[in-house]
Amino acid sequence: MTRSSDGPSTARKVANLLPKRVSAPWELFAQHLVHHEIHLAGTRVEMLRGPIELEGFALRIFRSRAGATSVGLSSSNDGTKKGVERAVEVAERSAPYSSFPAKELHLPTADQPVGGLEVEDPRVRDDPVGGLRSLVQEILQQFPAHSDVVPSFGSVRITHGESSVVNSAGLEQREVSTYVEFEWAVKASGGPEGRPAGEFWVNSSSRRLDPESLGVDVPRWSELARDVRRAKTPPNGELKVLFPARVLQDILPEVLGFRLGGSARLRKMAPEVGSSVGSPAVNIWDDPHLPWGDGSGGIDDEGTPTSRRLVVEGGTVRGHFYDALHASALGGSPLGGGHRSGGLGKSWHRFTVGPTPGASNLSIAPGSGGTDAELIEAAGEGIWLEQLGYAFPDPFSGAYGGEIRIGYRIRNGRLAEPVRGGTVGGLVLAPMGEPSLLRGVSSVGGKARFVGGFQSPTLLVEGIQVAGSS
Amino acid sequence: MNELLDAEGTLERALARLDPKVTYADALAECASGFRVRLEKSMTGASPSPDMKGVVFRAWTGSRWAETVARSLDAVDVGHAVDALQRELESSPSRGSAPPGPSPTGRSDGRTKTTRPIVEVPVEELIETARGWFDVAMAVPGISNTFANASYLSNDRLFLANSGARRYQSIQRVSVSVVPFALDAGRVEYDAIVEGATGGAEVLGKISEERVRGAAQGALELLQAKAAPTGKMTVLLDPSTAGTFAHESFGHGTEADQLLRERSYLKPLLGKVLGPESLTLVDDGSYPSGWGSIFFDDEGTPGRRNVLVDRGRFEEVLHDRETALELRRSPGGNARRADFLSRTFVRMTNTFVEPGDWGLGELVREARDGILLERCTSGIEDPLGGQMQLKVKRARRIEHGELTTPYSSMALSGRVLDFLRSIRGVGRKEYFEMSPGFCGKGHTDILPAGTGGSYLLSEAVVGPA
Repeated sequence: MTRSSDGPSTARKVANLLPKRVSAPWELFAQHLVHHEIHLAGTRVEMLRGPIELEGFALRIFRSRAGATSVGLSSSNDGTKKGVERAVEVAERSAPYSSFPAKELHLPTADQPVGGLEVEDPRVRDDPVGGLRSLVQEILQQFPAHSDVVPSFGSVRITHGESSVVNSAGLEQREVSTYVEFEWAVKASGGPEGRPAGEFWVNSSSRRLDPESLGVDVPRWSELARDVRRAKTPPNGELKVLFPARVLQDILPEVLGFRLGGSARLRKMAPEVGSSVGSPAVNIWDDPHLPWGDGSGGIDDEGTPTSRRLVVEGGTVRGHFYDALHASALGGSPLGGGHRSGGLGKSWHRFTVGPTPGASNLSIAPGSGGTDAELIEAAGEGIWLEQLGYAFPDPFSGAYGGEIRIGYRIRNGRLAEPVRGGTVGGLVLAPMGEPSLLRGVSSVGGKARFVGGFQSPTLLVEGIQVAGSS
Repeated sequence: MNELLDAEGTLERALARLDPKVTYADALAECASGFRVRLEKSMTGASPSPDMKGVVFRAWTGSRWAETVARSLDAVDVGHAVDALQRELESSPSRGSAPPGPSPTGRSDGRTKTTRPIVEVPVEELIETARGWFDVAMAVPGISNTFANASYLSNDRLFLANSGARRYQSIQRVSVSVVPFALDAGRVEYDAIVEGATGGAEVLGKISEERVRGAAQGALELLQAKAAPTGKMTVLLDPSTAGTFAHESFGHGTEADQLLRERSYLKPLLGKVLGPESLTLVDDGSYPSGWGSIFFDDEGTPGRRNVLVDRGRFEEVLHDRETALELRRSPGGNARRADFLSRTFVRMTNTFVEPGDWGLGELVREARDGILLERCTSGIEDPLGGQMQLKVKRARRIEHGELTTPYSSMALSGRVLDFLRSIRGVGRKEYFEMSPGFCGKGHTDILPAGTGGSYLLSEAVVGPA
């Protein structure tokens, strides 16, 4: 993390324009962002966009009223005096209509030094276009000439930005970071006439513009695209399923981030501290200090310093996530759990969405299951999931699942033929005595893999419902 | 005051400053705002949507599109964006060559039709409307909480091109939803009613007390639901699921940019019969009150009705000006930007299955044994592989031609072409519904897209999800 001293932060600049009538408590979150994109059709650069510069802010005005807190909100990309005045008017107009059950609000006050975290890739800052072109070139060079596998589509979007928070309690924090969103598709074709082409489609994210952290592995993608072509529908029934980190990444953070958060607890949807939610082999941390983690930061989006925390130990809940409002309502401590997730399809700007309690980088601790090969051997018979269409987890009910885009049968303790189609799914969390993903974990791999904002070893889960050929 | 129209002169002057050798340039300016109220137990939320404005300039360099973005409508920011575009054009020796496809020349002014604009509805009235739904749901014994939401998004766009086009549109999208929750010993279940349309205050009236009570009973029923069946079976899709089927199965595969990237399983099938005569699939940007309706797309082409599958025959795909040229068609009004910060892609507007002539009872009896999938929550396409995934919040077993046991949260998976060939019936017009949704190109560039349909009977693999 960089603590810039080059002039006032965007939040400070906007705060300086607040009219005098705005009385405490209030909070301003702001971002100054520079964004670039490259889009490919096959191997051709279809479009190069940027720099797209965006500066925006979100204002929250808090008022105590009848034993509750009303919150006036507004957000805008107009940081002029007129724009700020209008944002204040909007927030003031909305405040009387909102009511949140927090009797007393405690905004973070400390302007504590935070630092040492690696979340800014200098290449994204200093040479974004060169960096994009170089990454694309490096990937394209890995496709052999006259191969049966070619790139069919790609886009890389990079953002360099400063986020800042200022509030009426005297807090003033800023962080500089970078963010990379990566999509790529490879297509396998040729061979026997009439055989349809197969595609493997990659989505990943990172703080760094480098192939390794984005999971670039052209030989592996090519193999998967070829396997898509020969894959068959999986069997039907209750099976042992191996979930690698890249599959769990689309399932666990969304469900656990909500169900172990203050929002769920306030609505009586959260398992309480001390209740069992998973197998004794499951230990889960929230680690905002993971180097280069998507959710890493020295402060959360309310300016509260972050820390590494144990949330599930031996399958038992040990803690919840709180932002300032929910902490005030429930008597907890914020502990840096106030996050503004990216707006609709725009993870690169966060000022457009309000903070909610949640995880930063969920991290499942390694267990005693050994390597992936040892887990496959332990499974004996089952399915290795390589990619789901999309798990679309439901944070309220905890349901997850979707179509198998590509996976493998496990036969006699070894990976066998590819499978595709059919569905895998169930509940992440379930009442005692009922099957769930976390309760069904029978073995946890010995090595955690880091994917974007999530870290986990492969999990061997028993009793998973697979829908396939009858 | 209308900030977009106030900025029109600035934008015109900015376009005029570009190198006269440049054959084509356009500007798309946008102002977006909105408001949402949510009532739930012990909480009321009143949240303005982000107030965003800016403009994207685009010009043809001779070999590709170049774009720059101004982060406001202010003359200084606009000037910087145009200067940056000019520098990029100057570096292109072929900038005098013509862009792909016909350049727009039309002029129009389109505004969402309503007798009562939603922006004129007082916040108190929105809250009282939501409170009415909340009270009805909470009066059902066993309901623990209910989210009652009313919201609108206001999106104004002004499109100017040096080819003479000048189009302005002001669109209000209103959505309402009621989500009753039932909790028991760590299990959380809910049912949901969601409505959305371009329009005004009239959309608030789409949720009746009867439907709210039905959703509350639905949540309680799902709390007791047993484990869902798995495997290949006869499936009856409700209107929301049939609409998402249209969107995921054919919509994405007919986006012509995917055809040009050799990334659509449908490309070699254009002109062929893929389904029964009862199947007609349409994308219609001009659909009255449709959630995804637009007066013009972001290349200045008016939104229009495009029949993709006509009585079983695959007839048309969706175009922007570039793909239309390549495939010798006319631009279809499907070049859309998520916002001024995003590029154009070929996108859907309102995609739906035209109604057929089956009654619901007839379809259930025809299914005999199978499953009714209801309340679609999501879907995802596989444009090259021709697979699709649909997820629903609830389902109901069909046994001996009758609806029986309820299930919660299921997914459907299958090859689109197999699914089409297995279609045995399409429901009548009286069941037809249009639903609001948001659609991504890949995992990004999310924008409003409507989906619609009646009931649809076919076969697929289903399982819990």
